[in-house]
Amino acid sequence: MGNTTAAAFDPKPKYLGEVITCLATAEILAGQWVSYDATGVSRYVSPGTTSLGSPVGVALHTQSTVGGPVAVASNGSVVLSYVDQDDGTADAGDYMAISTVAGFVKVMDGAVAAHNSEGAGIFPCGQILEDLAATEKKYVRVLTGPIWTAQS
Amino acid sequence: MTATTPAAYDPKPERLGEVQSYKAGAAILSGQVVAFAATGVDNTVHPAIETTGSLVGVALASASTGDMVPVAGNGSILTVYSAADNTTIDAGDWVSNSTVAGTVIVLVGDIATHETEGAGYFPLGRALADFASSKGEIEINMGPIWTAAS
Repeated sequence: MGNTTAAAFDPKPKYLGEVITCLATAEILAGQWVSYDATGVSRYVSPGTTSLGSPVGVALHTQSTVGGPVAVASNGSVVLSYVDQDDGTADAGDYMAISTVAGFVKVMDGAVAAHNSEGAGIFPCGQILEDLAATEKKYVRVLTGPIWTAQS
Repeated sequence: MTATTPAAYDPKPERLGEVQSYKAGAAILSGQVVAFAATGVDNTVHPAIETTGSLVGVALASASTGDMVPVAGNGSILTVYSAADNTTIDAGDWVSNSTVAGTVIVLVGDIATHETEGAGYFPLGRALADFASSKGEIEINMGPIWTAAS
């Protein structure tokens, strides 16, 4: 599959850390990263993009029904992930962040450049364990955390 | 201050969180903090210094180059070496990798320069007690670093 065209795949967890049951705001495909809405709706998540809120983790199965439950592998889990094609490659050890492509990740820009925030933010979501080209799936350790912004 | 000379020791985990096996990219001593190379090599770690990449955790055993080594990650509580024998690390301080292989210093929290892989101090965790002499107990809590905009 083209790596910027979302399709369901088995994220084949090597290790499961926290697993959280969320509810789908929109269709979620197995293997996609999911995030809260920017406005924040209790337990509801969508395929993660930079225009959403903070990420939760990787969907362990597809959920096509809006409002249906979806199991999400969160902190501590080691799961397969795609990288956003725009980002090209990632090296083992790189920290990853949510990208503009729904459910994909890219290498995190560590710059504190502006008041990136919910709805306009590049949230960190994990640490990649293997070199990753844009057309591959490789393992990422889920590690979500807050973003930091420049002082206003 | 007297720099610590790395030596293998038992990090005596009080609690183990995430534990994963990695390949040793160089000789690793039990108890050393380990990290990816700055260039990034699949599932391969080295004793952490300021020029390596992001941290993975603390080695639970010694390993020769090419061997597999178990590494304690986030959520683990264990003992690490400080970079100097007579350094001051207080309970509650965040600690990072240092210039001495596999040891820690107090994390400098300034957002001052573009510290990054190959030139960066990554947060490793938080000291749970004042360090006595060269060792102390920490809770591992790793995360990304953030830098000032260029």
